[in-house]
Amino acid sequence: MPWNDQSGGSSGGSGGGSGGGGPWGGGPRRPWGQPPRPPQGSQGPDLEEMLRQWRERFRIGGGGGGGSSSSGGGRGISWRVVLGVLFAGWLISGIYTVNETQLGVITRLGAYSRTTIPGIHWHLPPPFESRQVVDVTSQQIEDIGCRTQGDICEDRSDESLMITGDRNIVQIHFRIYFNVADVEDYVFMVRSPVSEGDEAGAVRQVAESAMREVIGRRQLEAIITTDRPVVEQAVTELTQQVLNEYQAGVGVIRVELLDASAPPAVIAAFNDVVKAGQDAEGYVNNANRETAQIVNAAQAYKEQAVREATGEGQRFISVYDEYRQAPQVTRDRLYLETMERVYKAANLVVLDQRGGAVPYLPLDNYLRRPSAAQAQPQGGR
Amino acid sequence: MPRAGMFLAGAVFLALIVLLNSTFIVRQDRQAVVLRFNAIVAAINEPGANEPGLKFKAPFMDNVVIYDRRNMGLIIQGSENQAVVASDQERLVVDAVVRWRIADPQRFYQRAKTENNGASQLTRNTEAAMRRALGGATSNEIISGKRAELMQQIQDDLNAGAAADLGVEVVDVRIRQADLPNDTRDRVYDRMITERAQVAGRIRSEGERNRTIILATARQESERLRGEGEAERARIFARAYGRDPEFAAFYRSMRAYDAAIEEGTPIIISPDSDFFRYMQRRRGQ
Repeated sequence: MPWNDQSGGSSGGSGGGSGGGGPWGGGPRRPWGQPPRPPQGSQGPDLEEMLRQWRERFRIGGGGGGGSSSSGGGRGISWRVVLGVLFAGWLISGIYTVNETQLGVITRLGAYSRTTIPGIHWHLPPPFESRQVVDVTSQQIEDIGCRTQGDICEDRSDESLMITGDRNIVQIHFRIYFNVADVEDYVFMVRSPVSEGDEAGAVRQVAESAMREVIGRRQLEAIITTDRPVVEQAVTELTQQVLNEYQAGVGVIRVELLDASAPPAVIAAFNDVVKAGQDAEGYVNNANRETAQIVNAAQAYKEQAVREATGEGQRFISVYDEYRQAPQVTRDRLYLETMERVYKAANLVVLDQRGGAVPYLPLDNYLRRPSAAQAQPQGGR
Repeated sequence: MPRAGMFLAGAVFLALIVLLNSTFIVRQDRQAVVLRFNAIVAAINEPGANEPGLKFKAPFMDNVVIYDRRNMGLIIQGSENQAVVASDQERLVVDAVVRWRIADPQRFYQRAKTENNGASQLTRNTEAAMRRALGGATSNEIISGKRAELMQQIQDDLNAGAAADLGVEVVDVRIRQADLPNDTRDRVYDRMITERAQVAGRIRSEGERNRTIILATARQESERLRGEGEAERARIFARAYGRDPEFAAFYRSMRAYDAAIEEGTPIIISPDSDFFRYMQRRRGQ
C-alpha cells in the first residue's frame, strides 16, 4: 500500500521536520466522498481492465455515476470495487503489531493519543493517526571513550583522556547501559536521546560529562585501582539525575568501566612502578634465600668445629693415656714415626754445613708447590 | 449534465485547496507561531501550554512557522586558540553542552527566525557566559572543586540575560571537557612520568635496603654461630690438652708436621739434627 510511509520506524525519536509542515499535502486521493461499499464477492479485475474502463467512463462524460441502468451496470460495479479495494487497503494500513519488548505511541493529528502494549492493534489510518513503536525493555548501550570494532574497543583520545582531581590525565573507556523508562517522555521530550553515527545523543553527552565530573573529583591512583566501582556508581547516579531533569524518559541501568588506566604516553612509567615492586620483592626473596644459605653454613661450621674438636680431644686423651704408661718411649716413637713420614714425603736435602760447600738451590723449581707436586710426581726421592 | 459535473468537480477542488490552506497540524513535540502578513498573531503549543493537534488559520493570509518543542543539545566546541583563562592564569580548553529549548516562540521568531540562527546566537552567548564564570575561578575549581556550581552559574547567567532575551530556556549547561591545551598536556605527561619514576625508584631502593638488612642480619647470625663453635672448640681442646700441656704441645706439633709438609716439600736438613742423632753417634765413634 502506498500510504504506509507515515508509520514511523521502531527506532523512535528520529522525527525530522517533515511532520511539521502538515501531513496533508501530497497525500493520496481521499475517498471520503463515497461511503464504504464492501466488494461483493467479485474477483479483483486486472489493472489493464481497470484503466480501460476508467478511460471509457471519462469519454462518456463523468455523468454516468448511477445513470445508465442496463448497459453501464457492469461498469458501475467495477468502479465501486476499485474504490472499495483502495479504501480497504487504506484502513488496513492502520494495523500494526507491538512486540513484547516494545510499546507503541499513537498520535492523532499530531497530538499524543495513547500508548499501546504488546499485541496487534489498529489505529486510524494516516493522516489521522500515526504510530511510533519503540523498544523499551531492551538494553541499549553507548560506548564512550572508544568505539567497538569487533572484540576490541578502539580508543578515541578526544573522548577518553580525562583530567583527574590531582591534575593527572587518565584514559577512560566506559559503557552505559540504559533502556526506556517512560516512553512518552522518550518520544516527545528530548531531541535525539540516542547517538546516531557520530552525532552524540543526549545520553552520551550527559554520561561523558558526568564521568568527567566524577573523575575530576578523584585521584588518579585511586581511579585506576580501588575506586572503579565507586566511579561506576557515581556516574550512574549523576547521569540518571540529569536525564531525569531533562525528562528524557531514559533509565540508566548501569555504567561499566571498560578501561581506566594511565594514558599511552606515560604507560611505560606506570608499568615501571609495577616492575619496581616486583624487583623489590625479588631483592627480598633473594636476600632471604641467601640468609638461609649463610645461616646454614654457619651452623654447619659450628657443628663441625665442635665435633672435630671433640674427636681430636678424645684422640689426644687416648694417646695421652698410653703416654702416661711409658712417657719417654712413646714420645720418641711418636717423634720418629712422624719424622719418618714427613721426610719420606718431603724432598729431603741433607747438607753438612761444616763441609764448606755452598749448595746451589734452584728455588723456583720448588716454589711451585701444591698442584705441581701432585700433577707431576717427582722422579727420585 | 456534463457541464454541471465539471463545475461540481471544480468547486470541490477549490474547496479542498481552501481547506488545506486553512488548517495545519502542530505535533506533540512541536510548537508554532502564526503570522498574518508577517506579523505575529499567535503562538501555539508553546512550553507550558498543551495544545497540539489540528489548528485553523486564515487561508492565504496566515503563515505558520513550526519550531521544535523538545530539549535540544548544542555543543560548544572549545579550541586551542580560544582557551579560557582561569583566574590563576592557567589556560584551559573547555567544551560544553548546552541543553536548551525554545520557551517563547514569538520572541524567538523576532530575535532569530530560524533554529540554526538561534543556536548560533546561543553559542556566542554561552561562550561569553563561560568566560565570565570561568575567568573568576581557579583552574582547580574548574577541573574539580566547583565544577557543578560553575555550570549552574553559567546556566543562571544565560537564563537571566541573553537566553531570556532570545526566547530560549537553558535547561542545563554541562562542561564536557575542561582540558589542558596540548603543550600543557605534554608538561603534565612529563610530570606524571617523573613522578612515577620517583615512586619506582623509592620502591626499588626500599627493596635494596631490605635486602641489605636481611643479609646483614644473616651475617650477624652467622658470625655469632661461628663464634659459638670456635669457643666451644677452644673449651674442648683446653680441657683435653690441659691434662699435660707439655705433651700436648709435643703431640700437636707432630700432627702439625704431618699435616703441613706435603709430598715433595723441599727440606734442607743438617746431619746434626736430632733426627740423625744416631747416625752421627755412629760416625763420631
